Amino acid sequence: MGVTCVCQVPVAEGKSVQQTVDILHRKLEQLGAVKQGNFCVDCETYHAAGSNTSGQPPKFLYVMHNTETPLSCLALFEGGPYLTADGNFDVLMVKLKSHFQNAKGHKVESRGSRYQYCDFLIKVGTVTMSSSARGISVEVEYCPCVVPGDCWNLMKEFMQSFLGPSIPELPSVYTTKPEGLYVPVDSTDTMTQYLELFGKVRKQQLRSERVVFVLRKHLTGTVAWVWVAQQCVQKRTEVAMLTLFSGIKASSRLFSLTSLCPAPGHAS
Amino acid sequence: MKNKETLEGREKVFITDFQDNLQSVNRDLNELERLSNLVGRPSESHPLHNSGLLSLDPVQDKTPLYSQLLQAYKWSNKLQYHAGLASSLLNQQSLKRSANQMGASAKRRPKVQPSTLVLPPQYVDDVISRIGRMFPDMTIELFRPNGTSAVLLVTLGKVLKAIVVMRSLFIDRTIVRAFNENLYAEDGKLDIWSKSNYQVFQKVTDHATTALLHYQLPQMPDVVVRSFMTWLRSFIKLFQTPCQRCGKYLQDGLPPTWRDFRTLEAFHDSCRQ
Ligand SMILES: [Zn+2]
Repeated sequence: MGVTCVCQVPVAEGKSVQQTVDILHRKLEQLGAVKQGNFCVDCETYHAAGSNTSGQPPKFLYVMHNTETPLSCLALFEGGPYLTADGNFDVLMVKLKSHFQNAKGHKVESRGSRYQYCDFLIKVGTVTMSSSARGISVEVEYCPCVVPGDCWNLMKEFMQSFLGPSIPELPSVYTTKPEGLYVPVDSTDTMTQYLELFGKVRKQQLRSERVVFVLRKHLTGTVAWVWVAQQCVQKRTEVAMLTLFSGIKASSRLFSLTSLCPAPGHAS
Repeated sequence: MKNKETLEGREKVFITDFQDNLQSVNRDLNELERLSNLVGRPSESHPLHNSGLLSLDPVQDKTPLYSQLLQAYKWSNKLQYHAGLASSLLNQQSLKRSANQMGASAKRRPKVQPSTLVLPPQYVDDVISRIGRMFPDMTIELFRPNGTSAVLLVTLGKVLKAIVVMRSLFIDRTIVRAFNENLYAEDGKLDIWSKSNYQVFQKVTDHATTALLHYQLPQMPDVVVRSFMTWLRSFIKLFQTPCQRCGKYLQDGLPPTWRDFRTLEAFHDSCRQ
């Protein structure tokens, strides 16, 4: 394992997820990268049973697969230990149903093409959540180096050559670890980065779902607003969300004034 | 009567003609004798001996034999001089690199071992461990998997691992691999043959081989090993140093893999000229 960096690439202005992915493919091919098949990283979420009753926040267990290591899978406890297990660890999880429940609809995966350029491996994937494309992930691995701090500038220069100037910082997996600057032989660091990215994508989705919820609550009956909100959610742009929020504030005041709709707080 | 007269007349004409001819031959002979007296005695001490007389040829333009001869002479003189130097150098370090030569000559006469190739292993160990102590970020392990010849395993920081195959104190060949690459073959022996999987380290191996040919000092093999290790150590910042010419980290996907032999500055392979 070399040094890897997984980052989320924003969807290009006015383009769909697939179009943005195609643009990235074209840029890589222009650079001289050669396509070498496909890849997939997926993640199942389980919660520990009984954690809800004790009043503590639910504890999550993530089971991840990576086509790069097809015979094994990785089980990560949120903020805790992890283990590398055989590929059919999922079967064991079914047996452990009474302890860990599969959070249905929480399955996330990133699927796409794998490219090679000199000593670099590049994977451009579409992040899919409940069967709809939610974002783009790009993983870059520089295989001959094992010290992230050593080759970070070099990787940044490479990523800039096809991602443009908006380059992530050194992944926090590398900066936060005490022994820090040395990559383990397994792919834990890569998977941790994917897990972070999936979490980020999920949060973005939750935020958009909350907007719809808030709208439904405040603007009962105004179907048009809900429709507008859903359209914005489909685009998934932060700016659209903010405009929408300020729109709700203004309009809810308006609605409460004209008594077309109960004021916020009275709704529940 | 008339016939007799004409016969006498013809005899007379022939005799005068003959006398004229004889006189001219005599004259020419006299002239030649005079001229030959004028030619001085050729000097015996000419550096080219008798061939030096060619220089006396007055028609230089048509037959430039003499100048050609001089050039050939100078050339063969130089050749002899250089051959002499080369033979004295080769005698000190007669590493027979071609197997062909070894097989043919080894049977007939016992090979003369040059003195620098039969250093005691203990001495080699000492030199290597002294060099190892000079560089704290470099560990040098010494193995002798095949008889007396040493194989060095050089680990440079967390950047690279180099296998250096020695013959006595001379470096025979070297292979550079990534820090995370396998050093041992499937049979558990040190793999001193297969090249690195990464293009960066294939390039570094090429340059290290060039360095081996550059640092040559047959009289002081320990200095050569030390110079080579100093050069190799400059790769500790292989991934961190931008090219000294173009200022970039990457060119064609490779970092600067060339290190100047004197200044140890980093360059891309194509930026070094
Ligand atoms: Zn350069």
